[in-house]
Amino acid sequence: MEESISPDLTEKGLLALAESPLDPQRLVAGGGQGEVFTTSDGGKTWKGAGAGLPGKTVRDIVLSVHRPDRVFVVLSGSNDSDSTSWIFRSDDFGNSWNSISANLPPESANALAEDSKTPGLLFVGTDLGVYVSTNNAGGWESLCQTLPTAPVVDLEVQDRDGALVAATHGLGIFLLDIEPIRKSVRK
Amino acid sequence: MKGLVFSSRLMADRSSPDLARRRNASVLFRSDDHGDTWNRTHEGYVPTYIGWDFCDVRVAPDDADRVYVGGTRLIISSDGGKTFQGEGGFGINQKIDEVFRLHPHRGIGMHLDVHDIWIDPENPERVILGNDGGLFVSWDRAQTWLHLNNLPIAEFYRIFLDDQQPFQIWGGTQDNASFEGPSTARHQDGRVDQP
Repeated sequence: MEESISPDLTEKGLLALAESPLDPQRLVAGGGQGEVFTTSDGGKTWKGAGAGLPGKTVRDIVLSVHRPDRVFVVLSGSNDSDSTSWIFRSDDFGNSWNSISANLPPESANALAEDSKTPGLLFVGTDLGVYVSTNNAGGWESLCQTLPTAPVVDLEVQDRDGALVAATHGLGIFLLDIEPIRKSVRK
Repeated sequence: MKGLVFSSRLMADRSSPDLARRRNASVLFRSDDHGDTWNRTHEGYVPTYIGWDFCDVRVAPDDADRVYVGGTRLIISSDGGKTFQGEGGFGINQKIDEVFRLHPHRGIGMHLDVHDIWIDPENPERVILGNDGGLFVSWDRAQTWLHLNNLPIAEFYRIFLDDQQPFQIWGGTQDNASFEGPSTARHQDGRVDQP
Protein backbone atom coordinates (compact mmCIF):
# COMPACT_ATOMS: atom_id res chain seq x y z
CA MET A 1 0.00 0.00 0.00
CA GLU A 2 1.27 3.46 -0.85
CA GLU A 3 0.87 6.34 1.52
CA SER A 4 1.85 9.95 0.99
CA ILE A 5 4.23 11.27 3.63
CA SER A 6 4.24 14.87 2.46
CA PRO A 7 2.13 17.47 0.69
CA ASP A 8 3.31 18.57 -2.76
CA LEU A 9 6.49 20.29 -1.55
CA THR A 10 7.75 21.70 -4.86
CA GLU A 11 6.16 22.51 -8.19
CA LYS A 12 8.86 20.74 -10.15
CA GLY A 13 9.43 17.65 -8.07
CA LEU A 14 12.00 16.40 -5.63
CA LEU A 15 15.45 15.22 -6.66
CA ALA A 16 16.97 14.04 -3.39
CA LEU A 17 15.72 12.41 -0.20
CA ALA A 18 17.65 11.16 2.82
CA GLU A 19 16.84 9.53 6.13
CA SER A 20 18.81 10.01 9.33
CA PRO A 21 20.75 6.88 10.30
CA LEU A 22 20.28 7.95 13.94
CA ASP A 23 16.55 8.75 13.89
CA PRO A 24 14.31 7.32 11.14
CA GLN A 25 11.68 10.00 11.88
CA ARG A 26 14.07 12.58 10.44
CA LEU A 27 13.98 13.03 6.68
CA VAL A 28 15.36 15.77 4.42
CA ALA A 29 14.23 16.34 0.83
CA GLY A 30 15.61 18.65 -1.86
CA GLY A 31 14.46 20.08 -5.21
CA GLY A 32 15.85 21.60 -8.38
CA GLN A 33 16.08 25.23 -7.24
CA GLY A 34 17.74 25.01 -3.86
CA GLU A 35 14.58 24.00 -2.02
CA VAL A 36 15.23 21.89 1.08
CA PHE A 37 12.55 20.50 3.40
CA THR A 38 12.93 18.76 6.74
CA THR A 39 10.69 16.63 8.89
CA SER A 40 11.40 15.28 12.37
CA ASP A 41 8.20 13.28 12.71
CA GLY A 42 8.42 10.86 9.81
CA GLY A 43 6.71 13.22 7.39
CA LYS A 44 3.68 14.41 9.38
CA THR A 45 4.96 17.99 9.31
CA TRP A 46 7.48 19.49 6.88
CA LYS A 47 9.44 22.69 7.19
CA GLY A 48 11.19 24.71 4.50
CA ALA A 49 14.92 24.78 5.23
CA GLY A 50 16.38 26.24 2.05
CA ALA A 51 17.03 29.76 3.37
CA GLY A 52 20.68 30.62 2.86
CA LEU A 53 21.24 28.05 0.11
CA PRO A 54 21.82 29.00 -3.55
CA GLY A 55 18.98 28.31 -5.99
CA LYS A 56 20.81 25.43 -7.61
CA THR A 57 19.91 21.77 -8.13
CA VAL A 58 20.04 19.71 -4.95
CA ARG A 59 22.11 16.69 -6.00
CA ASP A 60 22.73 14.96 -2.67
CA ILE A 61 21.62 15.14 0.95
CA VAL A 62 23.46 13.36 3.76
CA LEU A 63 22.21 13.19 7.34
CA SER A 64 25.16 12.68 9.62
CA VAL A 65 25.75 9.39 11.36
CA HIS A 66 27.60 11.27 14.11
CA ARG A 67 25.13 14.03 15.10
CA PRO A 68 21.34 13.97 14.59
CA ASP A 69 21.18 17.73 13.86
CA ARG A 70 23.92 17.64 11.21
CA VAL A 71 22.90 17.75 7.54
CA PHE A 72 25.03 18.08 4.41
CA VAL A 73 23.58 19.38 1.14
CA VAL A 74 25.35 19.27 -2.22
CA LEU A 75 24.02 21.52 -4.99
CA SER A 76 25.03 21.74 -8.62
CA GLY A 77 24.77 24.64 -11.03
CA SER A 78 25.81 22.61 -14.05
CA ASN A 79 22.41 23.22 -15.67
CA ASP A 80 23.21 26.93 -15.90
CA SER A 81 26.96 26.60 -16.62
CA ASP A 82 27.91 27.37 -13.03
CA SER A 83 30.77 25.12 -11.98
CA THR A 84 31.03 26.30 -8.37
CA SER A 85 31.29 23.54 -5.77
CA TRP A 86 28.21 24.26 -3.66
CA ILE A 87 28.51 22.19 -0.47
CA PHE A 88 26.83 23.19 2.77
CA ARG A 89 26.56 21.88 6.31
CA SER A 90 23.92 22.60 8.92
CA ASP A 91 24.41 21.70 12.58
CA ASP A 92 20.89 22.74 13.58
CA PHE A 93 18.88 20.49 11.23
CA GLY A 94 18.49 23.03 8.45
CA ASN A 95 17.90 26.30 10.33
CA SER A 96 21.22 27.73 9.18
CA TRP A 97 23.84 26.68 6.63
CA ASN A 98 27.58 27.16 6.27
CA SER A 99 29.57 26.60 3.11
CA ILE A 100 32.15 23.84 3.52
CA SER A 101 33.59 24.03 -0.01
CA ALA A 102 36.81 25.50 1.45
CA ASN A 103 39.63 24.95 -1.06
CA LEU A 104 37.69 22.68 -3.45
CA PRO A 105 38.38 23.60 -7.10
CA PRO A 106 35.49 25.08 -9.11
CA GLU A 107 33.98 21.75 -10.22
CA SER A 108 30.25 21.13 -9.90
CA ALA A 109 29.77 18.81 -6.92
CA ASN A 110 27.35 15.90 -7.06
CA ALA A 111 27.74 13.75 -3.96
CA LEU A 112 29.05 13.63 -0.42
CA ALA A 113 29.79 10.68 1.87
CA GLU A 114 30.67 10.51 5.53
CA ASP A 115 32.67 7.73 7.18
CA SER A 116 30.76 6.40 10.18
CA LYS A 117 33.90 4.92 11.73
CA THR A 118 36.00 8.08 11.56
CA PRO A 119 34.39 11.36 12.64
CA GLY A 120 35.63 14.25 10.51
CA LEU A 121 36.40 12.07 7.46
CA LEU A 122 34.38 13.25 4.45
CA PHE A 123 34.41 12.57 0.73
CA VAL A 124 33.03 14.66 -2.12
CA GLY A 125 32.40 13.65 -5.73
CA THR A 126 32.55 16.36 -8.41
CA ASP A 127 32.25 16.52 -12.19
CA LEU A 128 36.01 15.86 -12.38
CA GLY A 129 36.86 13.59 -9.47
CA VAL A 130 36.83 12.70 -5.77
CA TYR A 131 38.15 14.76 -2.85
CA VAL A 132 38.74 13.91 0.81
CA SER A 133 38.72 15.95 3.97
CA THR A 134 40.22 14.51 7.13
CA ASN A 135 39.34 17.53 9.31
CA ASN A 136 35.58 17.96 8.97
CA ALA A 137 35.79 19.99 5.76
CA GLY A 138 38.49 22.36 6.98
CA GLY A 139 40.27 21.56 3.73
CA TRP A 140 40.07 19.11 0.84
CA GLU A 141 42.67 17.01 -0.97
CA SER A 142 42.36 15.22 -4.31
CA LEU A 143 41.84 11.45 -4.38
CA CYS A 144 42.05 11.37 -8.18
CA GLN A 145 45.49 9.86 -8.58
CA THR A 146 44.27 6.56 -10.05
CA LEU A 147 40.81 7.69 -11.05
CA PRO A 148 40.16 8.62 -14.69
CA THR A 149 38.45 11.94 -15.25
CA ALA A 150 34.69 11.48 -15.27
CA PRO A 151 31.73 13.03 -13.48
CA VAL A 152 31.42 11.30 -10.10
CA VAL A 153 27.67 11.24 -9.58
CA ASP A 154 27.38 9.24 -6.37
CA LEU A 155 29.68 8.25 -3.50
CA GLU A 156 29.04 5.67 -0.78
CA VAL A 157 31.21 4.30 2.03
CA GLN A 158 30.92 0.63 2.99
CA ASP A 159 31.75 1.04 6.67
CA ARG A 160 32.50 -2.59 7.54
CA ASP A 161 34.99 -3.08 4.70
CA GLY A 162 36.42 0.45 4.62
CA ALA A 163 35.60 0.89 0.94
CA LEU A 164 34.72 4.09 -0.85
CA VAL A 165 32.63 3.40 -3.97
CA ALA A 166 32.41 6.07 -6.67
CA ALA A 167 29.79 5.84 -9.41
CA THR A 168 30.60 7.77 -12.58
CA HIS A 169 28.52 8.98 -15.47
CA GLY A 170 30.27 7.25 -18.36
CA LEU A 171 33.04 5.13 -16.87
CA GLY A 172 31.27 2.71 -14.53
CA ILE A 173 32.14 2.25 -10.87
CA PHE A 174 35.42 2.60 -8.96
CA LEU A 175 36.35 1.37 -5.50
CA LEU A 176 39.01 2.73 -3.12
CA ASP A 177 40.33 1.10 0.07
CA ILE A 178 40.06 3.88 2.66
CA GLU A 179 41.63 1.98 5.58
CA PRO A 180 44.96 3.82 5.11
CA ILE A 181 43.10 7.15 5.26
CA ARG A 182 41.16 6.05 8.35
CA LYS A 183 44.40 5.07 10.07
CA SER A 184 46.09 8.37 9.26
CA VAL A 185 43.12 10.30 10.70
CA ARG A 186 43.09 8.29 13.93
CA LYS A 187 46.80 8.84 14.59
CA MET B 1 30.00 9.39 -56.75
CA LYS B 2 31.75 12.72 -57.09
CA GLY B 3 29.50 15.49 -55.88
CA LEU B 4 27.09 13.13 -54.13
CA VAL B 5 25.51 14.63 -51.03
CA PHE B 6 22.59 13.44 -48.94
CA SER B 7 20.80 15.69 -46.51
CA SER B 8 18.07 14.84 -44.05
CA ARG B 9 15.64 17.06 -42.24
CA LEU B 10 13.35 16.23 -39.38
CA MET B 11 9.64 16.61 -40.03
CA ALA B 12 6.46 15.64 -38.25
CA ASP B 13 4.75 12.86 -40.15
CA ARG B 14 1.08 13.86 -40.01
CA SER B 15 -0.01 11.55 -42.79
CA SER B 16 -1.86 9.23 -40.46
CA PRO B 17 -5.35 10.31 -39.47
CA ASP B 18 -4.77 8.36 -36.25
CA LEU B 19 -3.19 10.90 -33.86
CA ALA B 20 -1.53 8.18 -31.80
CA ARG B 21 0.35 6.98 -34.88
CA ARG B 22 1.71 10.37 -35.81
CA ARG B 23 5.41 10.44 -35.08
CA ASN B 24 8.53 12.36 -35.92
CA ALA B 25 9.98 11.35 -39.25
CA SER B 26 12.53 12.67 -41.72
CA VAL B 27 12.75 13.62 -45.33
CA LEU B 28 15.87 12.82 -47.32
CA PHE B 29 17.31 14.80 -50.21
CA ARG B 30 20.04 13.81 -52.66
CA SER B 31 22.33 15.97 -54.74
CA ASP B 32 24.70 14.63 -57.39
CA ASP B 33 26.20 18.02 -58.25
CA HIS B 34 27.94 19.13 -55.06
CA GLY B 35 24.69 20.47 -53.60
CA ASP B 36 23.63 22.79 -56.44
CA THR B 37 20.37 20.92 -57.08
CA TRP B 38 18.46 18.58 -54.79
CA ASN B 39 15.89 15.84 -55.22
CA ARG B 40 13.77 14.24 -52.57
CA THR B 41 14.62 10.53 -52.72
CA HIS B 42 11.30 9.09 -51.67
CA GLU B 43 7.58 9.59 -51.22
CA GLY B 44 6.22 10.22 -47.75
CA TYR B 45 8.62 10.13 -44.87
CA VAL B 46 11.73 8.30 -43.77
CA PRO B 47 10.84 6.63 -40.45
CA THR B 48 13.59 7.91 -38.16
CA TYR B 49 11.06 8.68 -35.40
CA ILE B 50 13.47 11.02 -33.66
CA GLY B 51 15.47 14.18 -34.25
CA TRP B 52 18.02 16.25 -32.31
CA ASP B 53 21.52 15.00 -33.02
CA PHE B 54 20.20 11.81 -34.57
CA CYS B 55 19.46 11.18 -38.24
CA ASP B 56 23.02 10.92 -39.49
CA VAL B 57 23.16 9.95 -43.15
CA ARG B 58 26.05 7.81 -44.42
CA VAL B 59 26.63 6.34 -47.88
CA ALA B 60 28.62 3.19 -48.62
CA PRO B 61 31.90 4.31 -50.25
CA ASP B 62 31.52 1.67 -52.97
CA ASP B 63 27.77 2.01 -53.63
CA ALA B 64 26.14 5.43 -54.01
CA ASP B 65 22.68 3.88 -53.60
CA ARG B 66 23.36 2.20 -50.28
CA VAL B 67 22.33 4.76 -47.67
CA TYR B 68 22.42 4.30 -43.90
CA VAL B 69 20.22 6.58 -41.80
CA GLY B 70 20.24 6.62 -38.01
CA GLY B 71 17.11 7.28 -35.99
CA THR B 72 15.59 5.36 -33.16
CA ARG B 73 16.86 2.44 -35.28
CA LEU B 74 19.31 2.09 -38.14
CA ILE B 75 17.46 2.00 -41.44
CA ILE B 76 19.14 1.16 -44.71
CA SER B 77 18.28 1.88 -48.32
CA SER B 78 19.78 -0.04 -51.21
CA ASP B 79 18.02 2.05 -53.86
CA GLY B 80 19.36 5.52 -53.18
CA GLY B 81 16.90 6.43 -50.45
CA LYS B 82 13.69 5.45 -52.24
CA THR B 83 12.81 2.63 -49.86
CA PHE B 84 14.28 1.58 -46.54
CA GLN B 85 14.82 -1.72 -44.80
CA GLY B 86 14.08 -1.72 -41.11
CA GLU B 87 10.91 0.35 -41.37
CA GLY B 88 8.84 -2.34 -39.71
CA GLY B 89 10.09 -1.34 -36.31
CA PHE B 90 12.22 -4.35 -35.58
CA GLY B 91 15.39 -4.53 -37.60
CA ILE B 92 16.95 -4.60 -40.98
CA ASN B 93 15.37 -7.93 -41.94
CA GLN B 94 11.99 -7.17 -40.40
CA LYS B 95 12.96 -9.31 -37.45
CA ILE B 96 14.91 -8.69 -34.27
CA ASP B 97 18.48 -7.80 -35.17
CA GLU B 98 20.99 -10.59 -34.80
CA VAL B 99 23.43 -9.35 -32.17
CA PHE B 100 26.32 -11.32 -30.68
CA ARG B 101 27.95 -10.04 -27.52
CA LEU B 102 31.42 -10.19 -25.97
CA HIS B 103 29.88 -10.58 -22.51
CA PRO B 104 26.58 -12.25 -21.59
CA HIS B 105 23.72 -9.77 -21.64
CA ARG B 106 20.00 -10.11 -21.19
CA GLY B 107 19.23 -7.62 -23.91
CA ILE B 108 17.64 -8.89 -27.09
CA GLY B 109 18.39 -7.34 -30.44
CA MET B 110 19.82 -3.91 -31.09
CA HIS B 111 19.69 -1.07 -28.58
CA LEU B 112 17.73 1.97 -29.69
CA ASP B 113 18.79 5.53 -30.52
CA VAL B 114 21.50 5.54 -33.16
CA HIS B 115 23.82 8.51 -32.62
CA ASP B 116 26.64 7.67 -34.99
CA ILE B 117 27.37 5.50 -38.00
CA TRP B 118 30.85 4.83 -39.38
CA ILE B 119 31.59 2.89 -42.54
CA ASP B 120 35.15 1.73 -43.09
CA PRO B 121 36.32 3.59 -46.21
CA GLU B 122 38.79 0.77 -46.95
CA ASN B 123 36.29 -2.03 -46.33
CA PRO B 124 32.61 -1.06 -46.66
CA GLU B 125 31.60 -4.45 -45.23
CA ARG B 126 32.63 -3.09 -41.84
CA VAL B 127 30.14 -0.75 -40.20
CA ILE B 128 30.29 0.58 -36.65
CA LEU B 129 27.22 1.85 -34.86
CA GLY B 130 27.19 4.02 -31.76
CA ASN B 131 23.90 4.03 -29.88
CA ASP B 132 22.63 4.31 -26.33
CA GLY B 133 23.72 0.69 -25.72
CA GLY B 134 27.35 1.31 -26.66
CA LEU B 135 29.34 0.27 -29.74
CA PHE B 136 28.28 -2.38 -32.24
CA VAL B 137 30.41 -3.58 -35.15
CA SER B 138 29.26 -5.42 -38.28
CA TRP B 139 31.42 -7.19 -40.85
CA ASP B 140 28.53 -7.87 -43.26
CA ARG B 141 27.13 -4.45 -44.09
CA ALA B 142 24.92 -4.16 -41.03
CA GLN B 143 23.19 -7.54 -41.30
CA THR B 144 24.61 -8.99 -38.06
CA TRP B 145 26.37 -7.29 -35.18
CA LEU B 146 28.88 -7.79 -32.41
CA HIS B 147 28.16 -5.75 -29.29
CA LEU B 148 31.52 -4.52 -27.95
CA ASN B 149 30.18 -4.63 -24.41
CA ASN B 150 33.57 -4.93 -22.78
CA LEU B 151 33.78 -1.14 -22.57
CA PRO B 152 33.35 0.16 -18.99
CA ILE B 153 31.19 3.11 -20.00
CA ALA B 154 28.10 2.80 -17.79
CA GLU B 155 26.45 6.10 -16.98
CA PHE B 156 25.34 5.66 -13.38
CA TYR B 157 22.99 7.88 -11.41
CA ARG B 158 22.72 6.44 -7.92
CA ILE B 159 24.33 3.53 -6.14
CA PHE B 160 23.55 1.61 -2.97
CA LEU B 161 25.85 -0.71 -0.99
CA ASP B 162 24.60 -3.62 1.10
CA ASP B 163 26.14 -5.72 3.89
CA GLN B 164 26.49 -9.06 2.12
CA GLN B 165 29.84 -10.82 2.13
CA PRO B 166 31.36 -9.57 -0.14
CA PHE B 167 29.18 -6.47 -0.24
CA GLN B 168 27.16 -5.91 -3.39
CA ILE B 169 26.92 -2.67 -5.34
CA TRP B 170 23.50 -1.77 -6.72
CA GLY B 171 23.07 1.00 -9.25
CA GLY B 172 20.79 2.53 -11.86
CA THR B 173 22.11 3.66 -15.24
CA GLN B 174 21.02 5.91 -18.07
CA ASP B 175 18.96 3.91 -20.57
CA ASN B 176 20.60 0.59 -19.62
CA ALA B 177 18.59 -0.73 -16.66
CA SER B 178 19.75 -1.30 -13.10
CA PHE B 179 22.60 -3.56 -12.08
CA GLU B 180 23.79 -5.45 -9.05
CA GLY B 181 27.19 -7.03 -8.66
CA PRO B 182 29.81 -8.05 -6.12
CA SER B 183 32.27 -5.36 -4.99
CA THR B 184 35.07 -7.88 -5.56
CA ALA B 185 34.33 -8.04 -9.31
CA ARG B 186 36.83 -6.44 -11.57
CA HIS B 187 36.16 -5.17 -15.05
CA GLN B 188 38.07 -8.05 -16.67
CA ASP B 189 35.99 -10.63 -14.77
CA GLY B 190 33.25 -10.12 -17.28
CA ARG B 191 30.47 -9.90 -14.73
CA VAL B 192 30.09 -6.20 -15.10
CA ASP B 193 27.40 -6.43 -17.75
CA GLN B 194 25.04 -8.91 -16.11
CA PRO B 195 21.96 -7.23 -14.76
